[in-house]
Amino acid sequence: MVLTPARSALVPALVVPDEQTWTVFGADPAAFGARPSFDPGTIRRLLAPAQVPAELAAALRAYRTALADDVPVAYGDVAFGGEVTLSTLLEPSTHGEHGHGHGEHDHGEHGHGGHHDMMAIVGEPSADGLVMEPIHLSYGPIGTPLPGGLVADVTLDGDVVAESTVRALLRVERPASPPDLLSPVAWTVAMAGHGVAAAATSPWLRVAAVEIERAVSHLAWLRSLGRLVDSQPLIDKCTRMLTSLQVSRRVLLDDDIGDAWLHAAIGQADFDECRERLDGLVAWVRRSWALRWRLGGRSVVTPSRARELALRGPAARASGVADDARVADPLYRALDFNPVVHSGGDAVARARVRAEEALASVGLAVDALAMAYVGGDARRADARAPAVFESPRGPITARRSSGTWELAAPGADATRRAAADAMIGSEWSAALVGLASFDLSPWRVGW
Amino acid sequence: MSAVGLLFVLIALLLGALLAAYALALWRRELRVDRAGEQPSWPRYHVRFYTFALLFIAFDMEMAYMYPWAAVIRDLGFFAYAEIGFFLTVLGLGIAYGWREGALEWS
Amino acid sequence: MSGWTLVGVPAVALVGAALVAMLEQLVAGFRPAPSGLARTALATLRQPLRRPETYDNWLFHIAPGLLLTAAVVALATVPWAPGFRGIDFQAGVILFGGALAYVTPAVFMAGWGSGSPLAVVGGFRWLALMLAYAMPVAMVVTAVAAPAGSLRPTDIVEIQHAVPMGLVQPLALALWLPAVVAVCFLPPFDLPQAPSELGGGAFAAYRGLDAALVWLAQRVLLVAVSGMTAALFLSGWHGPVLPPALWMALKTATVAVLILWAGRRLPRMEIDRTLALAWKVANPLAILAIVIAGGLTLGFYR
Repeated sequence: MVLTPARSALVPALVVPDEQTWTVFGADPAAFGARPSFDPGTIRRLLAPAQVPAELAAALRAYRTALADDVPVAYGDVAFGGEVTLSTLLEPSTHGEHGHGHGEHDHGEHGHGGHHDMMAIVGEPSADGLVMEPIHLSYGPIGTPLPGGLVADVTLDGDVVAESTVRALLRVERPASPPDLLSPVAWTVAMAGHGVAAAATSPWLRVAAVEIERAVSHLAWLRSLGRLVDSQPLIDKCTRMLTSLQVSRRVLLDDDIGDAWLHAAIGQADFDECRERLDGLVAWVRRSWALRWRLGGRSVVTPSRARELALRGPAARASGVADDARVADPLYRALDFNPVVHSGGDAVARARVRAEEALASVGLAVDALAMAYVGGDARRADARAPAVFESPRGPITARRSSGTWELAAPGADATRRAAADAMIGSEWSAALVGLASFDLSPWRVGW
Repeated sequence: MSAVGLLFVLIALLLGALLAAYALALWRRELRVDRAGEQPSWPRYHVRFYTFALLFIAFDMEMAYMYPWAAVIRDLGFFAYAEIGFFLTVLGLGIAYGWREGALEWS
Repeated sequence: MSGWTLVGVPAVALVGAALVAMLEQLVAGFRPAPSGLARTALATLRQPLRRPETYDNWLFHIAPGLLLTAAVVALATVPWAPGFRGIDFQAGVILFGGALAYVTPAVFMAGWGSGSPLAVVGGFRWLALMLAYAMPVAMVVTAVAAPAGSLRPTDIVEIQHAVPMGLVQPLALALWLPAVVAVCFLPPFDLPQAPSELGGGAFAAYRGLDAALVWLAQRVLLVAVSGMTAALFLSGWHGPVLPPALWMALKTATVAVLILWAGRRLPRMEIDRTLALAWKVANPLAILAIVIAGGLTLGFYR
């Protein structure tokens, strides 16, 4: 989704797909740009997609009541995969306020405060032996820098996290069939291991598409991390990279293949420039002292703990466990693939793993496209994709059962447990950063 | 004109303007009261606040003596300088003690 | 100093706040638009006042007023020009620090009065931050006042007619700037509001006039703090060609732009590491700055 600043003076709030998750943004009109604002007080206007998953609809309604009374809500059709500009979507004259009205002021589950005896101390002793009254907090599912639909139920001891559970309001279990533009390519590739025709039939193009998707996913995560810690340089760099990569991704997912198309794909995608800029971004992430200061030592997962939990994916690779399903893939072996592994297990290591993987992915995509162009003999390598595939968040397996597809992510539960456990004992903002560094997303299988 | 007098008049004017603004806001639109959340969230504050506050008070008392020192050091010369050096040393020892005892940790 | 001061100070506050708002847009990379600003202000003021039903309603509503009063009093101590010195108090820098001290309970009251968990957390974090960062402000003020032999801001400006204090005592300036940005709760020290972590935090529950007052108070604080920085460290209104008031305005604007730009570039500070930094590094260095200032006074400023 391409965002350009609106020309009109009133910039409203948006619910936008942020690499295919939904996040509620507000915009401060004085800023004259779609700068995300998570503070309900600064939102002037709310635009929501016409189709909202039922699980999120209640949360969206509750969020709406937290806004000021005179914030108008417009339900618009946010087109995925197309060029959507703010100025066209949000003209006050063309979009009437149709639809669902102002939402109910339904605080059914919130009772009256009641009289509370301030002097009596109740509760369990906390970690350092003091009896404190705990604060119970539900962070999410809307209006947070975390992906929409993710809820962190935490118990705060003052401002240190004592207990935490991470859950999702929705869960993707099986993709649409036939797969549409919203389905991550990794899913289609996993299914292709069982003979399903993917959108791109040549295996090299499949590899290229998956790797670009991996780069996009990691960069979008990096951008959301930037929003959490409020680091504007990181956000700007990632946004620029994302817009250019999303153009190339769209091109690669096209159904029509042929020599002419391949020429066009390679020309339009302009990968070399992408790669240079991405190299600069990765170097910046590596060098940045501010990022290291903010992320260093947060939510450490030791290698032994990673093995004990059976962690997979980038979280495991950041703890020193070299686990990557691509190593077993003959296509990747032909491309000279090496997994990116860092030790340290803290949020910095996870950020570095994802940044470097994004850079490596663009390189792999370029090489795969070159192989496709040259007509590299895919029969020399095994042309079928394996049944276990490495998605941006961990491995995915596909199984066909009674006419439908079942996708499973073996490492997802482990990641969620590791994220929740790693929050405990940290101060609130450190805990949030640690949670965000695990890249959980309810919009992907297993998350 | 006396500076202190002006200060009081300024504050009084400000308060008057604020009260007028609030009266105007209340007259035009009524005050809306939101229903409270599911539980009050006023925990007892952690003991670490006490340690930081003690440190703060020690420094604050020191500053109360530093202000007049700053005004007169130029005239009194080296003697005042040595005196304040002694004072600051004692204070620095206080911080060092707190540091060693772990009073400066947050979690 | 006359009755006109009572008109001048609020005027500087309002005009300064509007200019700071436009500087913010400039630093963010957009063209400043006064009409958009006016429209937002009117929209905010037209909202009805709102309050969450908690036990400390009084504190919730007093906080914005206290914040603005503290900001305006701090602004009143700043000397702008030989002809307009604000409230030319004999212990002006102490009054400045004292007014800034009222910001601490004001923001805490906002968080406490809001009652929601994240707001209270924001308030407590702010308290810890301020306990740590109020000290460099007071100590550096002493270091700057010693060479002048006086606590009157005008005298401190006068002593810099040859060399700005920032060049003579760079350590003091380096300690002063972060401390003073922290008092304004501007990024990277915007811990009480923390839009992305606390969803607006201590100020999230404010609507209407309350919200407008908090916004105004923060901008006025920035003007006061930038002005005092210019007066204490950048030799105030002294300068070759231009009239003194213009020099002062330019220096204040420069400091404000610097603070806003740093806020955009740096990620938000985290409370535990910031506190460790304050008590282990900043305060000992501030003591050192006082010692250096004493030596400089005896050596050069007699």
